[in-house]
Amino acid sequence: MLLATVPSAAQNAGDTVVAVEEEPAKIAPAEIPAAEPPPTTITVRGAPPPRSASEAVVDKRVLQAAPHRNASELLLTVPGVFVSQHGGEGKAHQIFFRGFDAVHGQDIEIWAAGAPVNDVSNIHGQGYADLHFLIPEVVREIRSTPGNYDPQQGDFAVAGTMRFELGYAEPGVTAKASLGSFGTRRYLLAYHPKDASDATFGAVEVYSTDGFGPSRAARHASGIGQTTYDFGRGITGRVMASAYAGRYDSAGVLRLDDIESGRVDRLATYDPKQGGYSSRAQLVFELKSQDAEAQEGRPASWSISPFVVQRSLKLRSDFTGFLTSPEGDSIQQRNDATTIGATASFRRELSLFSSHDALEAGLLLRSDSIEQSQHRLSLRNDLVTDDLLSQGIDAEVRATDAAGYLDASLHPVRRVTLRGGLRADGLSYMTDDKGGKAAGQTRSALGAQLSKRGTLDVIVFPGLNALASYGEGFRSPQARSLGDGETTPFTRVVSYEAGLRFRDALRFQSSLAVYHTRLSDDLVFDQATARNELVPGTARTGVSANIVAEPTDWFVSSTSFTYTRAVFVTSDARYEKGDLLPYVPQIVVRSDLAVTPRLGRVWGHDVQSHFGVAFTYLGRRPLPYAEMGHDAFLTDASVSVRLGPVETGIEAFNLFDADWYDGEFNYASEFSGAASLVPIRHVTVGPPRTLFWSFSIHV
Amino acid sequence: MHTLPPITRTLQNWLRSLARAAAWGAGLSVAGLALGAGIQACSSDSKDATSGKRVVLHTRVAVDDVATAKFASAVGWNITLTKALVSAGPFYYFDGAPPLVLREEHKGWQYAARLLGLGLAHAHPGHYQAGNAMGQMLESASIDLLDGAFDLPNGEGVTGTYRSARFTFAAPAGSGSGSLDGHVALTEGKAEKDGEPPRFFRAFADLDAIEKSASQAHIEGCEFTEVDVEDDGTVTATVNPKIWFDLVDFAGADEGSADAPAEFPDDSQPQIAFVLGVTQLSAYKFRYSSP
Repeated sequence: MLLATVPSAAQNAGDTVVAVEEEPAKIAPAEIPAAEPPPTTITVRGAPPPRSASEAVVDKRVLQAAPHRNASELLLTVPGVFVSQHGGEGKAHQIFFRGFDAVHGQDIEIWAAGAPVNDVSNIHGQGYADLHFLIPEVVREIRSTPGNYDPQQGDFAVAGTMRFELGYAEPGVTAKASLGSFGTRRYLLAYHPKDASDATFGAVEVYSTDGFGPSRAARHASGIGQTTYDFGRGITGRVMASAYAGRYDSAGVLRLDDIESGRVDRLATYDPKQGGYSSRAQLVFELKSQDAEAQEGRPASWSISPFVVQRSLKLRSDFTGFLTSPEGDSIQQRNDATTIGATASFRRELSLFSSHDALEAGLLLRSDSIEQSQHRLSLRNDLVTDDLLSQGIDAEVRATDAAGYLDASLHPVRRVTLRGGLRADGLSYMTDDKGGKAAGQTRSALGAQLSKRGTLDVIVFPGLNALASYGEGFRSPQARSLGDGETTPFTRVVSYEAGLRFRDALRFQSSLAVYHTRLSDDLVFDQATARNELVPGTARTGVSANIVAEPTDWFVSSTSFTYTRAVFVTSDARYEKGDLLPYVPQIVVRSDLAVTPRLGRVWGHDVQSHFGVAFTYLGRRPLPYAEMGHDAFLTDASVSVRLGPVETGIEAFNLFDADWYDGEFNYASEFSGAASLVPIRHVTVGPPRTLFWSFSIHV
Repeated sequence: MHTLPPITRTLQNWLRSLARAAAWGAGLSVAGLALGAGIQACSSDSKDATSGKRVVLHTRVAVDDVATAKFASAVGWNITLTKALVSAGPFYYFDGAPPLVLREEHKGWQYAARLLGLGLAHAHPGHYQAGNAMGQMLESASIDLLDGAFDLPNGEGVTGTYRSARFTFAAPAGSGSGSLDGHVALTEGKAEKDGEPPRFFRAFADLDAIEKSASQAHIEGCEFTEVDVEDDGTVTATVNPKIWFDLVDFAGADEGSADAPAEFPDDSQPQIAFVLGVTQLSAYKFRYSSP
């Protein structure tokens, strides 16, 4: 972002950074200063220079084009992303991104408003990232950085990084009530000071639903507040605080043959005791300076952003029925984590090849204190039934990540920019194992990773850039898997990408990229253990195309197509080189369109309308044993009308009521009758058509 | 010069932008599809599927040939069966190696010693590691072993190496279950031995009695003739009732008659030995054959 300050009483500059080589910036019409005094502040937002051809910034117009039930679904607008919610409305979504089944976040680094979202060594899954705390209305943009070409990208940036930036532009108080199918109710109260930037706001959301079938009820409440302050002399500050808690039921899986034979209803559940609780509280401070340390006439800037996050998770799930115990295989997991840390950076312009060259140094410090447990519970009386074959887990983990990076931006010849640098990460873990065979053991491990990253950006002609990128990254292991004194065995990632980006002023953007990513080893859902297990090295090769058009102020469309082929590149006893990686969808297509014409004026107010629609296609989802999962094609739509302070609308999800499965897995289970020890297809049923009516008042 | 009204100009600009966007979109789509096809083509060295595949396993139960005629038991009785019924439950096949099992060629004294509580140094199913389940047949059926091979419903499996199996007994169900009179294994026949009057017997094993020797009435670690299954085929479970009688000393059984065979007295050696015989691994063998 870039801030141009007209002599003013600037109040808000929350997210403003000098970045000379930013992509063309957008000036919101409402923010153009009046011809006459009083002077005002112009906030100009532009994206930092891209690190790859397929990098995308999804702005508010596209985010709001079609309806979304929650912030995780906003990720659907990011090219190459598909999300599903197989564990109930409260468990972290499963995210697929460019040939990666990131499950709940193991392959995608996620940040929200300057705080990390991924849980380190979460008991339910590495990198567990629960986005339910985010209120979708206050997400201003999502910055998608595929691959790992930016030295700022750290742990979990295997498939890429998603950064949620927050903002709420509607001035005054917004009160919104929504009623929907299946007893769903949602209330939103938001406030944004009229004279402040959209980075200053407060919002509260309360949500409850009976769910679209048995064991699908959910309730949650979330509040987010953020404010910015201009200290003068180019120094700005931002504070963000949020709190969230949610309780939800989960229907879990059904055997596909039970559904297809009619033995069970497709909305039924085998185990109604599944579900969970989740909470999150966080506080982020940010202090930024621009030009504060200008030396020899060269601009410099710095920032420091400490954060603290507290997370709790309780989850009860049952994937296998009575396979491991006649008392039932219900698993209870607990994970409590407190994260403290900070990011900081210093950027200075240099004159190596041109006056626009720059060098940035940054660091990330993060410490996680984690308590976690896992026990098998009786379905009959909820007592713990751990045994030798299903040993309980009780552990405390202390994880520390200290990272630093250097990032240069050089212009050796006209039209050519080189960006990139080095990143060094040191990760350490100390684990107190209090359960199972390892009870009483304390183990510690430490490892380091040096990553090289770079991007070559060539201007072919004004508006058209050709980019080639190279990046190395890593994914940290589960702390409990490490032996004492072990050098942390990172999953090492190497990514390549080449492509074109075209930008026609602000009305039209497009990109086309080919990419290839190789992992030294990988994690894949294992049908024998019903969890992600280590598998041989893998590679993804794919192509991504994205086109965003905003030809008028009342029309916006964004369409993306991603095809990825994910294969094993080495063999072991179970997987052969060249075989497809299971569970990773090969084709993801998404299109968001919105038409927002002004219909006229009534009683002195504009009649503003919004018609939005989104199409999502998920195709070719390989499953173990040479099978393919079901494709899914979903349509969401919305229509709303606003007259002055009053707005009403209808949102429809899965408009055509497609029967679809948001999760498909192959593994052994025993839910009824004889146990199937040979992996068979289990599914989680996707939501049917769901309608919401909403009424809002803006004052 | 004619001046277009503002709304017309706006519409023109919008249509122009839209046309440009459509052209770019079409171009991108074609390029993307071409690249996708190229990636697919360049991956010609790899198959377009995940590892392994599912196979259909036709399943049948047959009786070992040795039991269709008079056979000699390990303790010296010559036995002729006139009836041999069994109620078999699900079958499972694994890639784990079967345990070392006692075989019929072992001396009778070894069995006797075992009955007397004298342990033998053989591996037992407790050391057996089944490994991954490769196939299964989940239905149960009541089978007349002397009536020729009995076809069970198709089972399912996956490709890979099959090396061991689980044979299970189940409560009688389906056609033929009535003949079992509630037992899970039932035999009738004649046992002869020099110097002994012939015994016309009716031997049976109930589910609860079997479960005392074999947890959940599962006979774990049965031999599956090692094979790499790569396609649909037939799994044949061969039951050898001779093993059931190897430990039975008919001296402790009533004589009975051809028309009224005698049941083994409760808790007698013949009854206990018969139930133990029914739970012997070596009484059940599996093999795969391609069509």
